[in-house]
Amino acid sequence: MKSSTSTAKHLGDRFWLPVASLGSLLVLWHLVSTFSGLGAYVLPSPLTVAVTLVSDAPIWANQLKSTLVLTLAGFGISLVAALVLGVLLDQAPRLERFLRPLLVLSQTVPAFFLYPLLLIALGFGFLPLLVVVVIACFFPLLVTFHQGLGSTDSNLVDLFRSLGASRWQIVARVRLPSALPALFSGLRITLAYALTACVLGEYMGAQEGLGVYMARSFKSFSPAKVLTAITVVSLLSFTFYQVAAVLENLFLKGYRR
Amino acid sequence: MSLLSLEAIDHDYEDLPVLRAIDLSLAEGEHLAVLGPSGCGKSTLLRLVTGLETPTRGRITYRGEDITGVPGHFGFMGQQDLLLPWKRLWENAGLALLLRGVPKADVRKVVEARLADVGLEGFADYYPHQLSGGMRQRAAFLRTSLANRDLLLLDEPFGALDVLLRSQLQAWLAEILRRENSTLILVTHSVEEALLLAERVVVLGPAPGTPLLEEKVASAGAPFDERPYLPEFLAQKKRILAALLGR
Repeated sequence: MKSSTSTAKHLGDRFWLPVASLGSLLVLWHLVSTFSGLGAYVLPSPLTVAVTLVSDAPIWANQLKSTLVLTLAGFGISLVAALVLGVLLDQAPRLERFLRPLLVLSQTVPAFFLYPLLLIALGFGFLPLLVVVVIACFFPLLVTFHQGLGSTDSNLVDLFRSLGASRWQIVARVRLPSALPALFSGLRITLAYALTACVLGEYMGAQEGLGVYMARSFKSFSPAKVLTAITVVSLLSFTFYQVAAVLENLFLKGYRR
Repeated sequence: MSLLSLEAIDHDYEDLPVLRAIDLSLAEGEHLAVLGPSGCGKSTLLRLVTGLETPTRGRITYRGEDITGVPGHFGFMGQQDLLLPWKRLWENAGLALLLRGVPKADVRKVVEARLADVGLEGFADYYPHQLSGGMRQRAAFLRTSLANRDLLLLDEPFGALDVLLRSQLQAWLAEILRRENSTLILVTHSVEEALLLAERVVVLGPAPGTPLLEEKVASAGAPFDERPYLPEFLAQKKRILAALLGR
């Protein structure tokens, strides 16, 4: 009896509390929109945004495809590059010391500010946007993955060495699995970075994508459409986060201590 | 011919002398305990035997073959169980075999055949976090034993456990050692544990560790449960403690 009560409480905490917090936000938004005197022209109600979300679905769904492909392609390229370079840096401390200042410096440059330069260099289209997404994702992924590799328990490495494991057996069987929890936390955050970089790039100048839809909505003085675009981006970001969380649970099944 | 020999071993960490004049040999089936104060180089001695470190001077032979600084001959077990949290029990226990390229199905069979010996029958598919502290230590012991059944290297294996569990596992280990006729080097700071599990004790002095005292355990032939109460056990414990305290 006691355990079924605590299970119900646990489910309530996991499901209903987040629903309640999102519901409160919508109610607050509706109240501000209705009673603040800002007017629907400045702050449309959530209901108006919901109606626009449905009526504009064919338009934003069309733009969504491009954003999705660019975000995932850029993220995928960054992930592979970060995994390869992360292992190399981990295994070659001199290379790591050589590249460290560049890596630190790279973290301080917001990727999307490079976009105008990339537009000039690479022209209008898919490539400059892809490069921005790759730059935005690559360094956070590399840094978290490299830190994860560095956090490997040295006693575990000693155990493997004492059992005669080769250098690459140690990388594959100890260092990589030890880095997975750090990699996954980096991955969840970086997916959101990838989407933001992509949409911002599209907003600054592209032929298609959710950023283009957002820019057009601004230009047509339609706050409902702007908020629709923001909602779509938020929902996409939320979906990415949830997919990453499912993958994390799947891959890190035995990691609980 | 002795199973393992350490000949004229000196070892330094950079300029710091850690071990001096270590000459030890171990016969097959013998159980040796190495005692000493903290920092005297007891654990380093095991690292030298496993090949994780190469002694500054001297050599180590196993069955007549020079294995100085060459890892891959033995597993070791320390205070931490060092089970891989992402692997199931059978994969953890069979780690040495998996690293040698033995097919997974065969490793599983070998491990399952030994699980009953360590009281873990039916737990092959459990993850470490699903096991108790004592079960994890027994799984770590099986991993060490499957790496090389001939020579077991244990470094304070029960040091992180509570007194009750420690005493249960000491009795369990004594039974396993008796049954399997394995050779053992046990590093410990507990005089009582050394006298309970070994037949010969070497006491190292403070750093740099050098043998102060080497004795056969007088109570080694007596039943395990009775040993701690025998006069010869108590007298030897007192003598070794006095050597450790420099009296």
